[in-house]
Amino acid sequence: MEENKTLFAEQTEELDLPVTEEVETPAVEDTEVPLDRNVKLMSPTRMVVRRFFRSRLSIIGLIMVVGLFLFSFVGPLFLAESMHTEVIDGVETEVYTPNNGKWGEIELDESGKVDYATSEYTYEVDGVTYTVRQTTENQLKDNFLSPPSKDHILGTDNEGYDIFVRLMYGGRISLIVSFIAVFLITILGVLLGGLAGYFGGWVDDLIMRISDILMCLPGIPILLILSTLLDASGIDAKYRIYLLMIYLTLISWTGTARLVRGQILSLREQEFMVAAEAMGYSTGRKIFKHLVPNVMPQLIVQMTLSLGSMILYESTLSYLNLGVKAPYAAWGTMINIISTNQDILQNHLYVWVPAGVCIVIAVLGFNFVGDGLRDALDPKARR
Amino acid sequence: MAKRNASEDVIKNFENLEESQVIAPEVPEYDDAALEAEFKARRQQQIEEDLAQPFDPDCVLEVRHLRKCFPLQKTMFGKVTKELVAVDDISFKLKAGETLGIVGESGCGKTTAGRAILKLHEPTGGQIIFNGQDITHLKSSQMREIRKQMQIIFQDPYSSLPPRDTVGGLLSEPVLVHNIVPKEQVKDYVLDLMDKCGLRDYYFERYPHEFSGGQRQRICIARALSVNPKLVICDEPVSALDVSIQAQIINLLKELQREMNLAYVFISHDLSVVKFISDKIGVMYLGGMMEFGSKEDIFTNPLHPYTKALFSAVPNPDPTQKMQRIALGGDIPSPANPPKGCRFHTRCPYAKEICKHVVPEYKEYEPGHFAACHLLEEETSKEA
Amino acid sequence: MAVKKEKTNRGYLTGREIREIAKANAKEIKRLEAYKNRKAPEEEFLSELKDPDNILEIEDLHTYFYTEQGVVKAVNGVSYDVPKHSVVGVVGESGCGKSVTSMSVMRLIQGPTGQIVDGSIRFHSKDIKKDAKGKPVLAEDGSFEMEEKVYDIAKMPIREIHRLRGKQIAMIFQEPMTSLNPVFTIGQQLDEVTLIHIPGATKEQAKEKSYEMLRLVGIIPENVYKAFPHELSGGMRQRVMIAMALAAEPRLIIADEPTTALDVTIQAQILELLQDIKNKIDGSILLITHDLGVIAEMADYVVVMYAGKVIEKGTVMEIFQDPRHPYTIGLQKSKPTMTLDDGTELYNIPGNVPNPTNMPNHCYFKERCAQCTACCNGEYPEMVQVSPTHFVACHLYREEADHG
Repeated sequence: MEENKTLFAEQTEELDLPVTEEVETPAVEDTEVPLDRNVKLMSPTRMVVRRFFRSRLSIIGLIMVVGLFLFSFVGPLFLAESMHTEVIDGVETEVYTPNNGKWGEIELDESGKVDYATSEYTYEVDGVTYTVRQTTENQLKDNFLSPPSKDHILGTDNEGYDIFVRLMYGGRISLIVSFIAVFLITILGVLLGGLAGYFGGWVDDLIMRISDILMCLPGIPILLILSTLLDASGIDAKYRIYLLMIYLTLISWTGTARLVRGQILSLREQEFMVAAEAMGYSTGRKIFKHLVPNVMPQLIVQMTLSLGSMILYESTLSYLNLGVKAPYAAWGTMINIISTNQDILQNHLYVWVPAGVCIVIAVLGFNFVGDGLRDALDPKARR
Repeated sequence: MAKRNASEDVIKNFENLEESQVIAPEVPEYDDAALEAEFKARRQQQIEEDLAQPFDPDCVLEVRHLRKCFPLQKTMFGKVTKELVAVDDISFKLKAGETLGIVGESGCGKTTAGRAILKLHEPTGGQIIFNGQDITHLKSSQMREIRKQMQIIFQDPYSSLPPRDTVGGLLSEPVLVHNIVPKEQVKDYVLDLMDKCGLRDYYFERYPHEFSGGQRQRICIARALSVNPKLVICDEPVSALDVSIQAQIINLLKELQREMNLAYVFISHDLSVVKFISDKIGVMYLGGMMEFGSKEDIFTNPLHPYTKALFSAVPNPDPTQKMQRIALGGDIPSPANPPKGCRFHTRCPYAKEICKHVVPEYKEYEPGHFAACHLLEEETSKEA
Repeated sequence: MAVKKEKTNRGYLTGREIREIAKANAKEIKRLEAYKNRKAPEEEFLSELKDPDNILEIEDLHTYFYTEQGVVKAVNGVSYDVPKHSVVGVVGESGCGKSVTSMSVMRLIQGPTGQIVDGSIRFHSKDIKKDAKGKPVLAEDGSFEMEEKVYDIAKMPIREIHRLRGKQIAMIFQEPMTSLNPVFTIGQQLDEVTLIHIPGATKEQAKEKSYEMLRLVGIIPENVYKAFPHELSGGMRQRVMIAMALAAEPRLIIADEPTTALDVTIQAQILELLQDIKNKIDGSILLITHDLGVIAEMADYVVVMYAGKVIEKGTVMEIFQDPRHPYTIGLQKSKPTMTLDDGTELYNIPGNVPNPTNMPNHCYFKERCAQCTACCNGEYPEMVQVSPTHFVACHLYREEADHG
């Protein structure tokens, strides 16, 4: 026992900074790599990716979303016709370059137009030559409400537009509009929520009261009024949807702002923020280098989830004929066709079901991805 | 037998506590309101006198009558009607290379005191003199320059490191912000610092969550020292760590202190750790300083009954010596509603009538050895 | 070789390795979950004690956690006994598996990641005898007839564990702030224990019992019975927790860091209380803590654990007066004590507790040990008996035992 004690006394002095010494004087070759170096861990990114792909639903969601993107943005390059502007008689006009079996967004299939074939027969009766001109009315194809065929993959609607192609263009509009809206909502939300959360006091009070007021506003009635106003002002049907979505943005940032504010309020009390304060960092650095990156996970989740709800909003507006208006395509407008014609609702499912399916896929897809991201990024789930 | 008596004591003390709360002692000679007014006036005068004194040039840190209150209730117009006095009138001086240990139980205000010194909480009253400069009323923009000279290490090594930054990144950041070394040399500087703190160089690219508590605490220490501070507030730096790691960190702190001539304010509830590292010790209870002195004074000749009880409560890792305990009954009162008179009287085994009404004066009983207790006052007056 | 490894491997798992781990884990977890949830006749988990004086015998227990980064062998072949009427202290640093062992005894390991893989936990149960319908059998004098059995907890299906949990084995947790339900009064929570575990108890009897228990832990029952947990301080709550644990008159109390979250003076009160009730109750205490001071004051026997294994065990005198394992010695030396004269430096054990995945098959303490010899590179040392009650797992004492 005594021997042990003396051994220890000697060792204590040598072991001043044992960790570094160990590295410099490796005893055995195998221990050259320190023990904790051998232990393998997962990198933070891989941990998130791994947790995301662990859930089957989020994979399905991702496939849905990516599929929709390809369908809407890449699809038209192959299947639809390109639209370009040409100067005709000094006026810029959108012109389609027709192609075999490809259709544009607002190109009618006019093949079903009545074709008049005239034939002439001459025959003589009693030396008199009679010429009979016969005109046959010939309908070559059923151009509107035609069921899926080789020419029109999903058939045509009551006006003769190609449904499949219009689905692509409808997807484009939905995705672009909702992305812009979510992007704006996030910017506004982070800015205002961040200000409220970080500074507190009267800034917080002011921003939060404004958001309270905005949350009281009835969204749809105001939209109706706005839409009438837009109609009256004669703004191009193509752009009105963007204006309406900007209005939606202005009233929907409150959710994001509240989320960011709550996060920042709780993060502000964390010791690493106190440490940042003690380090004498500037306010900007504290907010953008230390706070915002820590809000990002929740923000990304919120953004993904609100993409779904924005698509729903856009479709609703279009369905109510407030958003994208004919002849331009949107999923909502395409479903709206049923309101004009009972027959289509019952007998021509191919006209409106695909658009409905697209909306379901888009919203479900974004929600699955959002849920998957939430599980993957949630630090509480970290083990 | 002895054991049993002790636990009966606990029960008895509970009963005492109940009685003292229920039956208001009708002793006419103590007029609480008048006593309080008198005490306040006297203290105010004392504070004014002390604050007018010149700064001690030898000291890195001088704290005079520091007071920090948190508002609990406000009227609609923002007037504070009820407040929590977290730190009530503490004073001390600290020289370079010295360590001041502050001990106390939870809710005694030791953490608040530490943060108020760094002005992470705006002090309500008193003076903080750092390096011969009164920093009590500096604006946050003015503080930014001074911040690099005073740093803090936290208790929880898990929440005190930003989770999304690599070790190298979070150590380089303060160096870059404060321009400690030219940009090209930052990496070498940080690697050197990591080596000093016992961190291997390949940790540079790793994330804090990959490390154990001890290694994280080393990272925290490295970060605090990256700006070459003169004063480091250590807020329970080893409480969350295992015994063997605790010893490593304490040794590291001591070694760095020798090397860099640092002054520490070492806040802890663990008396044995404080004893090991400190030169001076302050014992706090419910926001007030109960006793203050050099380590020898406090440990060989504790004056205040609270200090004595605190020492006897620490379990001794030696089964042959069963310690004689001074059992403290009851619980620590809420700091939002501290007892009148001496704040310790509800749990003090020697409490007298006077302790319940009159606030004891914080006096120097031996050179450099301060305490606040009526019993001591009586003793000294008897001797005189 | 080391340099090459550095380049290819930055210390992170590759995608392929992760998939392999996940696959292997899923297979094992499925098997163990099925075993845990099976229906089994009582004979299958009845057992025999090696020493009839013991109340609990843990033998070669393995509890693993199947994580995404590999299998964490939190408890890796732990054996110790808890004799009747004694306090056994388990001491070790965080992550050494001391809590996981006790959770295994309670079968509270969080599935599906955490699983008891191997070993046996034999517990001497003494319970009210019940007939086939589950009704208590009364003796001739009207009291309950008792029945003694030895269960192997590790082999018990999870549905049978209610026979022991709370009633025969009670637990006191570290966090008094969160271990009481905030929406019920103290009285309700205390009464519940009696009502559940004593068949046919009336509400009045339960209240009486609760009062008795509160008095036992030094609380005036009238003040606290109707209070809600948030109205009490930490120390009081821990007293209530102890009262709850005692209410069912358990044969074994597991106290998992009962004083760690408390202040020194309150800790002293609770320790006094535990000392006191230790003599009053008919049962043993398994005290788990990292504080050597608490162990020295409370325990009769000490088990020192490191990285999922027991490295030394013996009576409290043997461990504190004559520690053998370098880790035990280091642990005691590195704790600054009140009586210690301040040297310039505190003794410390270098390095960190190893990560329990990919453990090498040699002494786990080798990297941190100051007395490391050539034979430490060999296999993990076996337990060496140095006295009738003192065991140590270290190569240093192997020869000593061989000669003796």
